[in-house]
Amino acid sequence: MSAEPVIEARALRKSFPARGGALKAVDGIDLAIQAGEVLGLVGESGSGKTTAGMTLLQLHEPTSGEILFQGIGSLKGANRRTLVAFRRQAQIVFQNPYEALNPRETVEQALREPLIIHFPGDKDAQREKMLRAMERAGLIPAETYLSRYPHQLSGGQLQRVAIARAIALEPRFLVADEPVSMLDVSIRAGILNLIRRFASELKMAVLYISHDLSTMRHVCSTIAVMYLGRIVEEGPAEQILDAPLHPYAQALVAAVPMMGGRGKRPRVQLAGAIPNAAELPPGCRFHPRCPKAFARCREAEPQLRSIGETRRVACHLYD
Amino acid sequence: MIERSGLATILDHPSGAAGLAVVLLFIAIAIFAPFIAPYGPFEVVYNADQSVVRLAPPDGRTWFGTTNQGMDVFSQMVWGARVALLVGLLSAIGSVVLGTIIGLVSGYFGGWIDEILMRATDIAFGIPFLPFAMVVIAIARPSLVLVILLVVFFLWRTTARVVRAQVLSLKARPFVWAARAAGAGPARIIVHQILPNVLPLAFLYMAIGVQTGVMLEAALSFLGFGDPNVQSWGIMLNAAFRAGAMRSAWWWVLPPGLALSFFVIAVFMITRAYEERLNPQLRMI
Repeated sequence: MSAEPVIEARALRKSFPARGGALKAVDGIDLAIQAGEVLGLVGESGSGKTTAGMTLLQLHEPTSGEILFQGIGSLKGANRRTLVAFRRQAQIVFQNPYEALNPRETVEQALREPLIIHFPGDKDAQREKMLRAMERAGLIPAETYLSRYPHQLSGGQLQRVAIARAIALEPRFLVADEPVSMLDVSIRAGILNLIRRFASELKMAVLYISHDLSTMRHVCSTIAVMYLGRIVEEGPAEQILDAPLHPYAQALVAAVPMMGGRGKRPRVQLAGAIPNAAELPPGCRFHPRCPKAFARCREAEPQLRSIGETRRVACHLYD
Repeated sequence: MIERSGLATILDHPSGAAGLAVVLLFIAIAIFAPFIAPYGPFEVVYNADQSVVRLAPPDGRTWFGTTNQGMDVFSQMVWGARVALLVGLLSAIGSVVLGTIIGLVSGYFGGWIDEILMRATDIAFGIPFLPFAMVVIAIARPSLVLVILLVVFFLWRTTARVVRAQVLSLKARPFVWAARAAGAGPARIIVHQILPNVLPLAFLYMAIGVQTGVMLEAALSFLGFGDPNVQSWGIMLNAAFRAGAMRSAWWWVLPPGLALSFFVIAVFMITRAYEERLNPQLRMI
């Protein structure tokens, strides 16, 4: 882990104006993704994981903090040219494949869009890159899809088109925002394999966002657990899935249904729902729902600290 | 949603098909007016003894009778179709183009641009058409171009608001975010991603604009603010009214009145059939 990461966020914050204050969707996160690494970002709905992905891509302007990109440097106050260079390297796949493509564009028009922007005029190169991306995304034979409209494709095919569009520019950083949660279970594995291969074979740095831990083991090398805009635990995927430290991570892991015997797991049930990010509780933001909360949790906010060599956790239980 | 051409949907719908047939008939009448109308729009019909044929009821020579000035009512009605279509189409196109551009810019950029444009739209919504148009025409000189401009000024506001609302929902859709992530600038996103998705709506408002444009021109003309150099259905009604013939010369009043009604209803039936495609909930009503 000594190599320079492809993308790195330092104390990244993104808040949105809300009634009576600010909604802190992302409230100071640090993360770094190496080439060839898939970082899984997991959390409930409303934990800020999608906002984190969008902010890393500069689709939302960060409220504060810094994003560093390999070969480009800091994106803070980047001018238009730097931003275009960054866009070529950083792409996204969205959750809902039915909304990810313009209903009035053919597959070819959708796929050419990024290529026309970054390789204007060079029609042959555009076509070559487009077809290569389609084959990498599993749209084979590519030619048969070019003139189709989104309503003529299945959900899995649509997601493959969206993936092809994202990798057409051969980016070094890919955000996959719940790419399989709206797909049929039978085709999920195929899409997840693609994402894993992009990291291992094309050496992309991938941020895999999901609320579903069961897909994480399959795809991720590292996992970061997010709760209300903060990372509460981070470490190698296997370790977090097998022995989570943070009570919130324990609850998430316990919620994954298990088949067969991988041993008994303690059952952890959370009370209530995730609070509104505009009205954060004092102290540890998880304490109102935490089964192990004690006095200190109501007063001081725990910071991420290292446990062993590879893991970090933000919880007073491990002080 | 299964994508189908607008025309197919209109034809599938019984009233849509009927409306389209009537509108096509009016278009044919307008195009071939010189061949259909036996007399010019202001041509006076004379008897054999050189006397003017005043207020003659329908007969073999003047099918719909004549006016108090001896002009052929049938011919005037035929020429009136040209004016109706011209006013309807130009004011509809003008208002929809203007309204769509304002709606796109306002909805996409938001912020102070949206604030300014939407307050302007609010002001436009506060202007009552007839009194405003009458004052403007009274100050300027009545002409068809002025009438069209006034109708455009009156109609753009609705399109602008509706398109803006649509843009607000479209710009939050993932495919627009994807275009942004691909590095597309605002102009490219508006033209390639958003505009194609508001065109069906713009087309609907264009059809509604044709209908409203024709009615407003007729209303202005009936009130005496029409272009005196053209013969429109509204001007015919105005002439009949001024001659005090509204009750006596039914043949003079019915043709322009019915032509106007048929045209407006036909366009309405087309818009209705088309609207049902855009908004399937209407089908239940």
